[in-house]
Amino acid sequence: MATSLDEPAAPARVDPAARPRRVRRSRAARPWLLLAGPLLVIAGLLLYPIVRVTVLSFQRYGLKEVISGKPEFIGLDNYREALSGDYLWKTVLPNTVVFAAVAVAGTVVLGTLVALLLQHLGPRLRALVIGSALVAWALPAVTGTYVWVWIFDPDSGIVRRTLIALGMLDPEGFNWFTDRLSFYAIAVLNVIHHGYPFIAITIFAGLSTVPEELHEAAKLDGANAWRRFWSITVPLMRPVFAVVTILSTIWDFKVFAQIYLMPGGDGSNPDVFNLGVWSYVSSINQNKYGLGSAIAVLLTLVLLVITMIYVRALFREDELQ
Amino acid sequence: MQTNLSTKTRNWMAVASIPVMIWTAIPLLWILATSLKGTDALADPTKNSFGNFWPKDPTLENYRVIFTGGASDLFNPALRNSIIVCLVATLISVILAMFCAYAISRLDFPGKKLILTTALAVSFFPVIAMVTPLFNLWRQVGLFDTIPGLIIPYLALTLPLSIWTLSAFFQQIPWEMEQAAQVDGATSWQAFRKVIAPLAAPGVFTTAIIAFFTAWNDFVFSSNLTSSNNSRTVPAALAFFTGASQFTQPTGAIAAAAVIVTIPVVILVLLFQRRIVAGLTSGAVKG
Repeated sequence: MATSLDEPAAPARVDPAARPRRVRRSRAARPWLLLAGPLLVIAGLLLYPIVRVTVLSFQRYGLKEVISGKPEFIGLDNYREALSGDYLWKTVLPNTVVFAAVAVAGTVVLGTLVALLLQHLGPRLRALVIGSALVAWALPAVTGTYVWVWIFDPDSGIVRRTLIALGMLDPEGFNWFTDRLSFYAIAVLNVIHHGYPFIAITIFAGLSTVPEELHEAAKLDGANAWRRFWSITVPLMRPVFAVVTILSTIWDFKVFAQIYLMPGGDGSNPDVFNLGVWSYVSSINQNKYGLGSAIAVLLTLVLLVITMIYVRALFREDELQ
Repeated sequence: MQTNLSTKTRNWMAVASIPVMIWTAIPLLWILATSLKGTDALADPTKNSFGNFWPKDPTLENYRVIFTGGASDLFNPALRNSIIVCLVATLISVILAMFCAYAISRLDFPGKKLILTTALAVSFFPVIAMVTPLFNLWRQVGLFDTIPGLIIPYLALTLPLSIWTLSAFFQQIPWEMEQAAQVDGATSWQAFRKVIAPLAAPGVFTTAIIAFFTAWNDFVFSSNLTSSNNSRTVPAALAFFTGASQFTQPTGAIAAAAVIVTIPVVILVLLFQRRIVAGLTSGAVKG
């Protein structure tokens, strides 16, 4: 896609010189006429919330201010409240960052393995695996989360029953959702399940661009599959791996519904909040819109940095081509 | 794909794909099984086989609850809202994205890369940061809890994605063929209809499916920008389900509703698997 950006546009249908100048000028404006609609929609939908949420983050905006309509400017107080104290640094940030790191690593590793598997399957089995993966990808996150919660239900979930039957769990059971670590282990299972199909299919498509002769030649030289993967596939596929890693990072940093809909994630268990949930609960549940907005701005800044890395990775890909 | 594999390796590969498929499929099967359990089977594991998994006595009770029973006044409007909101949002964003993608792939002007980068950056903007501002604005302008009030924010989810995917597709179209057809005597309408439209259709179609999935998936906008059956969509409505009595969980009804909202997705996936794969990968790999 990026390569064709630099190619000249298709020749004009009629020689431009044969047309009056007015028409030619309208030609120069044509891209912007086409772009005006989409760009206006994007600008409106993006700029308004960004400006508004930034303004809110500098205000005291609670129930009282909602009713009076007169918010008070309090400078950086909301940021101070969010950034000071242990809660952000010991609970929310580790929840966000460690969860994202584990989920990204899991998604990319599993996606790669499934992609390699797909490459070696026969057409029928491949269609079956891709089909079930696509259904998992398209399953709404809300319903997906409900299922994982049921599977791990402390009373009647299949996991509890299986573990008790195997003698690996005491009959009184265990509530996995109250403990932060097991809560996030379930969230990781859910998010990887939902996220790996996209990664697997992207990497699978990328694998088909690796010339087979390279593998053949390396094989003749005695390189085993493991060696060939690291010495041929990985270097050639570096841009693809960069793209899927950064995309997953962004998705997993802003995971919201999957946490919020788990027991305790809706505000009752502050131990399990991530940045998104914390922002949401502060705003919507506690009516501290100023604080919630400040946290949202912090999350946006983190995502912005990752996006910039992503864009740079894409441009580097251009230069390679 | 690769011919140099021994039968033994192939068999191992087939074996290896089994756990992947099981892990992928279990949540889907689990919803289905739960939706077929009656109230007694949900409460009593002995009424199910395979370790509380499949009901011994499958029943459509839960589907009756959501379509004609206790949850129907919640579910039916939500399903209608979901369909309307997602279809309209998809239609608008695909049409707008077509203008954009056409300009980017066909016309020569500076700033193409900037536009694509902006579209990408927008899709990374966290939804929770948009909810509070939109909530306040929608209350002021009267869009709160209306269908358009949900379609507009859904465009923020679907439009950047559509621009990104469709641009990738349109740049693969050999536009010179349009001229070639005209040289051969076709009118410009014929050239568009017979040459360009068939080439562009799969991309447009795939983009529409991906955009639809994204909108269908939304929970945050729908649960915060709606307050009644006027516009609430299914993912948000699930939270309002209640059990048959005060003391029972609405698990069965939620499962049945989840099956119903997943069915269109499954049908689309099975029918258009190849196209979706092409659409998913065109944006990222060739990005």
